[in-house]
Amino acid sequence: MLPPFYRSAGLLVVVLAIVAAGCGGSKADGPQVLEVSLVNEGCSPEKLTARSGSVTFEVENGGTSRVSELEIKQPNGVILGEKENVGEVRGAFTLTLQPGRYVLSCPTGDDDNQGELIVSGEAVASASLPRAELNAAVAAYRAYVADQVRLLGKGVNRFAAALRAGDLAKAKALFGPVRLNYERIEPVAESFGGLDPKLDAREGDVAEGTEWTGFHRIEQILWVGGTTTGTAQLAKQLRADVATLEQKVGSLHFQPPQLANGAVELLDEVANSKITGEEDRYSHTDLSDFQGNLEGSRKAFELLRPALVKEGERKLVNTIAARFAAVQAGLDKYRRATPLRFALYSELTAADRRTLSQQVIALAEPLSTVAGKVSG
Amino acid sequence: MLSRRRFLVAAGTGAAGLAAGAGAASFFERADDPAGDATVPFYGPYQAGIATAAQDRLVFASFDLTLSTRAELRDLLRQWTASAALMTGGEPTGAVEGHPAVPPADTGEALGLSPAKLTVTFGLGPSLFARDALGLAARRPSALHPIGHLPGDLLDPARSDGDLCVQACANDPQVAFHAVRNLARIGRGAVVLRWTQLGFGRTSSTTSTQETARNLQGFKDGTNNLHGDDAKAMSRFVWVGDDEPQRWFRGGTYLVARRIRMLIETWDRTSLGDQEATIGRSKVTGAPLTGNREHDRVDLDLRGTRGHPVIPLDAHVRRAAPASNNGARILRRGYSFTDGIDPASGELDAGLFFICYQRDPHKQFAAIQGRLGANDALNEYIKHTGSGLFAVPPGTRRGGFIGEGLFT
Repeated sequence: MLPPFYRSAGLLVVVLAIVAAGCGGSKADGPQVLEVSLVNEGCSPEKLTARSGSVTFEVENGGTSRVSELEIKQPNGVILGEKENVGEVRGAFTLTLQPGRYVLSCPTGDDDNQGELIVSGEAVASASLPRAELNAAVAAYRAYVADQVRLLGKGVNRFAAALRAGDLAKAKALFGPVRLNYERIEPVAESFGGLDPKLDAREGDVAEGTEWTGFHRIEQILWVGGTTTGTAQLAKQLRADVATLEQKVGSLHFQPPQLANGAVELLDEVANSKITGEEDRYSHTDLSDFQGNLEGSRKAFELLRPALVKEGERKLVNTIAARFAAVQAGLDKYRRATPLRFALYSELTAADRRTLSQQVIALAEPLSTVAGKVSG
Repeated sequence: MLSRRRFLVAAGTGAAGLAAGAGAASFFERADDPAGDATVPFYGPYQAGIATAAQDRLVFASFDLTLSTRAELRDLLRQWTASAALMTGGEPTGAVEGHPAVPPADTGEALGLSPAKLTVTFGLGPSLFARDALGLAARRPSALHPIGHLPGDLLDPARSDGDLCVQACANDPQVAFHAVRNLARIGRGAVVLRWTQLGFGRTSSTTSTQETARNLQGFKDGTNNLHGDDAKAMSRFVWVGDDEPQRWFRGGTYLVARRIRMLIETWDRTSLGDQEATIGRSKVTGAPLTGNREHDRVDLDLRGTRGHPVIPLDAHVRRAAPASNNGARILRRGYSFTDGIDPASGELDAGLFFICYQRDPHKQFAAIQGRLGANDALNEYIKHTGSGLFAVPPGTRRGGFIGEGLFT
């Protein structure tokens, strides 16, 4: 962070001038930096243009307390990059953008006040990156996501049928296994903004005035209420939301760093909500979710592996692969011959949980460097 | 190519040069420590942070190994040494603003802060040498054997021991925390944190020019401490000498850490007379009960008008005195701590995180504490709740690393 003194406009100009001179590069070839200021009305400016390739967005608060984030989205609403909690501190993020139209959004709370980003130029092909391997990874990941969402849809149908039939035991047995497909691709669902809360919000996460729906609402009724009564409408809604998810992922386009960051986000999910036992607080089926997050993370990594190897990152690949194996081995200790296939999380001691947590942390650290290896 | 923001950070400390229109090279030099007043040299025959004048703040961390090979341990010690050398010189461990798609190499909270006399001191626990997979048994320093139970110990295993330790001291708590945090991060996958302790104020003076500090009992602590600038005493009591059969460990020392909880509420309702009799010194001046000024002689033989010793038989100053311990002395380098409240009682969980250095922990610390634990009047007001023993290897030169002697 900079001391306020260095942010003063006069000095900034001087320093900028020196950078331009010092770097010696002509502006057209250099990295593109677009500045966006957050104001009460949303983004300022509302329209931006850029050349295809690497674009860095620098976000600062232009004196508003209403707006705190900038999102760059595809027209279908998929978030490509965002900076949240922009307050006193400036934020920045970098995306590799192909030519096309994008949505520039600085949510004001009342409505999505949307601006536009137009990217012109040629399709980007970075010579230094193993394009063929990365394209293959992205295509395979897209297929994986589609598969998981389709399986999720089937599972949710079975779950809903058990709830309709009032079969409490069957519904409880299905709850964990059905979630597995969702947990494998959770960050993808999260990229659709409102969809993840509808499907997966925990009690207390829901904004006032919004109805609590989804898996965990049903979980609470099944385990705390000991009944299926009152789940019919929720099950119907769950099926509808999963159908929406299935429809949306069909139009998804990924970039390699998203796979890498998604792999890390899945481990963050484990570290922040599974290890604490807060995800499935009524059913204690957290270890199954943990397995889903781990598998989804590992899938993304395995798909990127050939590209990383081609880049000469064999040592990093071996480290990450060994640590994935260590986390899986740690989790395998709790395998059980039950429908859930895992021990209930409440059976684990504090020391057991700490060991799992430390294994996840050891894995997530090197994994967090992968995005930088697969982006231009 | 430098991004604009990265340039600003890099140029930040050189702003004076910028304003004066100095040459481009000076923009990247640190301007906040022109005379090196804020740095303590990292390289040298002994590790820094021992004879160094005690800084105001401490972050201490104990680690357990998760790595399993000698090569991994060597890599870790190499990386830790290199990072410690950077941080004690006031540099980050890596770029804070590097690739935008990658987490910053250095966590960044020390950017723009003075190095604040940061020292980072590494130690090796007895359990490290007991790990068969590492095959280090033949390199174990001669006196690195667990201290075992001492009278009055109420040790919590979760606050005791460890395979490795890091003592980070600085005059700015954030600088010390930054050091431990980044070393822990660099070690992820190789080590896990076992316990940490923050010390918010030094309780020892470790050079002849430092004023004696007070501990949380309100007494001056360590008036008769060894001084790091007394080379003769350091050689005699602290640095492991040429009689050490483990040649690699000559120039090393042993660190003993003890988390000593003070029963603050009980102490606070103890009369001034009883407090002073317990310690054997005046609370305000620090003078021994047999003198008027802090550095007056502690006369253990002086008797009062009724024939009783002026310094009671169980006074802390008597029990801890070299004369009561066959001349044994230690270099104390402790810090006051508080960890909130004891949930069971609602009382303050605070006290002294005692650290001492010596050439033989059994003949020095354990011998002294064995006597103190049995019959020191202070025991009524304290509990030893954590303990750690670590062999502190000698220092290293540029290009080398701490603990290199384990592998050669």
